[in-house]
Amino acid sequence: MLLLRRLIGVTLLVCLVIVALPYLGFFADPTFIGPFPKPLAIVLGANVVLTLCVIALYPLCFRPLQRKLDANPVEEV
Amino acid sequence: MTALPTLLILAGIVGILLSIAYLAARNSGGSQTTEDFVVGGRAIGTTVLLLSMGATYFSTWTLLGSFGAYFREGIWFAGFAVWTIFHGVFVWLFGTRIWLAGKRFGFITPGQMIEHYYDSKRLRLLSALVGITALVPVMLIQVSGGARALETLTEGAVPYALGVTIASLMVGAIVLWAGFRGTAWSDMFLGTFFAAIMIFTALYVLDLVGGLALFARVAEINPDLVTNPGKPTNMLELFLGLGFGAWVLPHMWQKFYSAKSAETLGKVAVATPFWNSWMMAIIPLIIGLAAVIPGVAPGVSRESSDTILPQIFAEHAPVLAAFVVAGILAAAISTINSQLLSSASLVAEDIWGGVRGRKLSDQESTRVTRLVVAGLTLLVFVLALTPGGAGHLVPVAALGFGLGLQLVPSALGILYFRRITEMGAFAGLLAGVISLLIVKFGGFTIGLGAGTTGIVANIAVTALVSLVTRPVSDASIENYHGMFARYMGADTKSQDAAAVDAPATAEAV
Repeated sequence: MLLLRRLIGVTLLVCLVIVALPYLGFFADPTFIGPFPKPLAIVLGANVVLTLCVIALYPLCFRPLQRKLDANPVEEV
Repeated sequence: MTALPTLLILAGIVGILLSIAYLAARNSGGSQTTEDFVVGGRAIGTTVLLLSMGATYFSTWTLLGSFGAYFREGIWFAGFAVWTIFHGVFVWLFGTRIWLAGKRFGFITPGQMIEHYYDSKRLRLLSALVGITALVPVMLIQVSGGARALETLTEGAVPYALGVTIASLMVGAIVLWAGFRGTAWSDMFLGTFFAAIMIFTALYVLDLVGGLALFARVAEINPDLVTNPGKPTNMLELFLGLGFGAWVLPHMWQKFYSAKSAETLGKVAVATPFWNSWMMAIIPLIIGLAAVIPGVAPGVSRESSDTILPQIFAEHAPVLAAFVVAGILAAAISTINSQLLSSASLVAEDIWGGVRGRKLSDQESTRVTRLVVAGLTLLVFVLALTPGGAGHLVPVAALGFGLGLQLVPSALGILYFRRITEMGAFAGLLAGVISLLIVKFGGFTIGLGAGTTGIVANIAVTALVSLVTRPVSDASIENYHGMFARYMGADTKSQDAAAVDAPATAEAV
């Protein structure tokens, strides 16, 4: 579980770096990948991966937190 | 655009909003505690919270400005879609911790948590002042911008003063009558309403321009729009302000408090990319770029590119244009109502309570919050009607997110970095705000935007001062970082068991 969480964290950072590349002059030209210009294809590709990462947060992070809260509710003061 | 359909649809929206406020007030059982009034009794479920957060974040700027940004800047602006996906990640990284601490200690404003953790009234007061300064001008711009758009698009059929009056009355009525619950429920309706308009428009223009051939056609007309020209510092400024800074703004922080459970927040996080990015960022990309193609939005120029959406309707489906006009008002109201309630609670709890030097009773706090809601609504209404009044505040409103960003280091001290001290957080916040103001109004620059310069100075001062000043108390460390470690550490079986078996002493305050 911890490994998967770290993998998600690394993937998020890698996606951020990839998205930043066109803003730094890499892959910024208007050649096309399929119907999309390259800089946009990069953003859309990263967006798909990021969406999957956020979905994965639910079983990897939120569900375990809810289990712990069910087992040991927060003591309200 | 004829006046009658527009006025009828606006009247319909007003009727629906009043009905929602009535139902929400009735659902609250008549006598609302401060917790009910300000954070919905911490009982808000997934759908309402998701749509409320989405509708609050996306303002008239989304329905008008983002289309224009794509029209002018092309795919350079697509980075917008990435920041908004990170809002889902921030729900986990920050939202769950804020919710957890809020639930344990019964906080309803960010300032209460700041004072409790740092044991500092001055930091609470300063953060409340920064929070209000960030929110109030943005509310004003929503009202005046929405009303001005209505007047222009209806060619005077809905005069500016009427637009301001409708928006102010609606916002004031919803918040005063039904508090957080009314605000969240009306957000849900308004958000769904303007999302439907956006989806319909995207499908329509895609059909009009030949589907995904859109990008090739744009490249033929203006290749610059499918090229990324760089400008990384501009994108960084936008990312930090609109993306990273969004979670720390007081009204978003209070939405985290309002969640029914951690599972609710989890479901909101999962749905966030679809609402915030794929719908609110990618759809404007399609519509904004399609407007470049002749015949889609005739007459739109760089100068008038903020009116793309209504121009498309005026050209292709004038009978539906009134819905767009109502959608603009919906976007404005759904953004202001949360900001208004949040600002009022900051004034009541953090400033008025701080001046009185004691904790306000439940009734006193709700009464003061309601009074401040009425006062702020009146203030926004009067300023919006003052000739040029709103115009003078535009530069300040533009700083709203940049100012909000300055609250991040203090918040990170509570949520992650135990070595940040009260003196460090206070000095850093002051340094950040001062640096931001110097860059914005003094003309001094280090090559970064105002918000980015502020946060760089803020982080540097926070870190340096924290190195040489007294850390926060052990009790605070245990109450916050200890709790976060117990509940949010890696999910191994042994840690689960440890959490369950945690001794009472560890939980005790």
